[in-house]
Amino acid sequence: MVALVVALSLPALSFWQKYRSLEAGLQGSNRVRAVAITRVINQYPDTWRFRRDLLAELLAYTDIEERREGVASVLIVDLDGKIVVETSEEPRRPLIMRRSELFDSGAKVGYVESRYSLRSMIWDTVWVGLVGLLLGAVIYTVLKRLQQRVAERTDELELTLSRVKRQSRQATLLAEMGGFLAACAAAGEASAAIARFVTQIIPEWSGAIYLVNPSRNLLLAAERWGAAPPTRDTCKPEECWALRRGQMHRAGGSSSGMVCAHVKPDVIAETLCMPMVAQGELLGLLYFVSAAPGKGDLHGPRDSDEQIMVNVAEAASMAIANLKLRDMLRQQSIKDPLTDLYNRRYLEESFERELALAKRERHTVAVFMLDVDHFKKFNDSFGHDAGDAVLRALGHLLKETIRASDIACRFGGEEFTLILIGAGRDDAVQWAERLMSRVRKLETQGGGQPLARITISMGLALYPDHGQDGETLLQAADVALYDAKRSGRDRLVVFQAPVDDASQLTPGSTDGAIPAT
Amino acid sequence: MNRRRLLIAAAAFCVVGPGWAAELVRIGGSGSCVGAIELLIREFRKIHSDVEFAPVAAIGSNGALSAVSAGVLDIAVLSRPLSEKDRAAGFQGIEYARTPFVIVVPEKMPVAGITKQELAEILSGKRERWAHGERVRPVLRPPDDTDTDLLKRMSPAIAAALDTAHKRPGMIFAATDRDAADSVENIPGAIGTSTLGLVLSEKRRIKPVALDGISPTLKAFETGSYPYHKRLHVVWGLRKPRPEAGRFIEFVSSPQALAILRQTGHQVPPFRGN
Repeated sequence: MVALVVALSLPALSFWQKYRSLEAGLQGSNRVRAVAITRVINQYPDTWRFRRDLLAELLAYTDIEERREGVASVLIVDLDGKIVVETSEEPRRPLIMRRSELFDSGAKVGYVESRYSLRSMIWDTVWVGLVGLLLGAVIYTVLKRLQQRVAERTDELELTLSRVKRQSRQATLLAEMGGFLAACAAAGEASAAIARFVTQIIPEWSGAIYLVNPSRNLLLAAERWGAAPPTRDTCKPEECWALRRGQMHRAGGSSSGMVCAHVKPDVIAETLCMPMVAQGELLGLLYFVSAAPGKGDLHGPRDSDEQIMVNVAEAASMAIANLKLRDMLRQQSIKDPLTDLYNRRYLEESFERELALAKRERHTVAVFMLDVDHFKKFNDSFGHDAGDAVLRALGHLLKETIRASDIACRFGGEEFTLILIGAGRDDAVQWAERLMSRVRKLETQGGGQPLARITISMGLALYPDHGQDGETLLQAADVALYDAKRSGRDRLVVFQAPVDDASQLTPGSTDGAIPAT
Repeated sequence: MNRRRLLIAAAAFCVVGPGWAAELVRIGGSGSCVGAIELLIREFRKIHSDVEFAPVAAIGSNGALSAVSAGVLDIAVLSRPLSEKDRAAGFQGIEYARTPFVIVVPEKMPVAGITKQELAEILSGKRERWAHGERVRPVLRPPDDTDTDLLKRMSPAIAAALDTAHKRPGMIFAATDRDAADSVENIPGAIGTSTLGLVLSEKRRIKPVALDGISPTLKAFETGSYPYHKRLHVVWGLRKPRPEAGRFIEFVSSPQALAILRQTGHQVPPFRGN
């Protein structure tokens, strides 16, 4: 627009200025001529038309420029339109013409007209126009480039602003995710939180989080997200180049990296695998796949997404490692390291909870107290290591024989507690008999040598028959165990509550010993 | 002011001229006076042939006063009385004659009289042709000229018509009394102002016409039936005129001079009435 204005205004202004100057000049000189001619007319009112020499002399006083052939002419015309005097031929058209009237004692008798050819002025204007056009073109080019530069800068600025906003939002979400991860109680919960946040942090990417199974030979898909998540549920560590190389691995799309075996062959988009490692331990894999090839480019450079993925992987790794550590510490706090059974502390925590559940769901609970017979003598005979080996073997056996819902604890020393959820008297007795039978057959070794066989004594108390709370029931089972010991060991005694007061538990108040068979 | 300087220069050229001599008496002034003064000079030289005169310069009353003041002229002849300002500047003089202020047309034009109303119509452009068909061409004097002033005093209609005429483009203007007489003489259908003294003393081919039926004769003027006139003065400057000029000033009041003046349409002292 500015260039067009310059291109047009320069010649227009030039023409206008020259035209106005010429017009003023013509008008002025014409008026002077008219006054002089009028004086002649006044002097010779009847014959002025015929005094052509005198009139021509008056008209001769013109600018030198005007006298050039074909440029200007002046003529006197009477009222009838007849030309009285004309200085020269009519100039080349187009013309500018200015008239001044002639008077005979105040009455109009004709006019004097100056004519000037505009041709040279038009040529001048054309030249100026060409210069204007050239100048306009230069200005147009310069402005266009400036505009382009400004547009580029604006785009860059907008892109930078967009990146900053995106990164700021990503940082906020990452921090928020960190907060949620810190509050997660299990790896599964953490995986769900990661999936939910990653969808918001880098929505252009689909993906999955794989967690290493306890045996560390398989990765299981814990969560998936995005429009095009991978469909494989499992993968082996050796199927992923990232896990094999111990570093982030990019493939597909414009990348030249090898495509992992766990990536389905029909995936043509860019993929990114991030190993989740903490303190040298492989915890899992974060797998990302671009929602559409090259789509990530629209929102910023790959480096930015990669960095955020690294951050997500680090946060996820730390969270899962913390959960594992927490789980390990908890296990350590509630388990007996020798037998890998729960300890007494866990029993006290969980027993009341199980009883509350039984109360609500109206089912029975069987509580056993059992003790290795003559364990002190065994220790004295074979040593503490042998004793530990026996306890370890017994613990393993107990874990094998109970259901996942049951609880087996090392109560202390060679004494164990078993809680069988939903077991009635008969089931409990039958189960105890099978256990005692297997214990008698249990073979253990100490120092490379087979150790002597062991037996166990067991006391059984039942909920709700023998008590409503854990302490009472444990006390009842303990009383029954005491009776079993006193009755000759290697047997089960079921607690027998006194007829008038079940809470007054005393030795011998069992309903009968079940001796070894 | 420029015009005045130009007139002084013109007077100087006419008076001094190529053959200027120290003893020449230099006279100039209003065109109304020049013709009669030239006749008086001719008569004066019959008596004082030793006194030489430069040609009388018709440079107007105001121009002549400036020329006297500048020492270019010895005597100024005015068609108006000295003003207080003139007297304050040191000019002094005598009124030597009065002559009727007349409306003139070309001598051969068949017009004998005109009314003030017709004159106003002619000046304002309402009347463009004479009764005999010829185009009317008024010859105007500059707005500050004595003739313009006298004409305006004739009637308010004429004063208004004159104002209009001065604004019309292409009108004929005459700078001096002699220019006006020349224009009326030469331009067909012309009408202008002059004095009876100028017409008669210079034997101009123009004729005074009756105004509102009264012919502008000396008798009509002296009887008071024609009141319009100019008062003619001989004026000299602060310094005492040279003896030759002084003798001519004395001669203007002599019986011979007064006889010539009366013959050429002038009322001579003592003035009565008017």
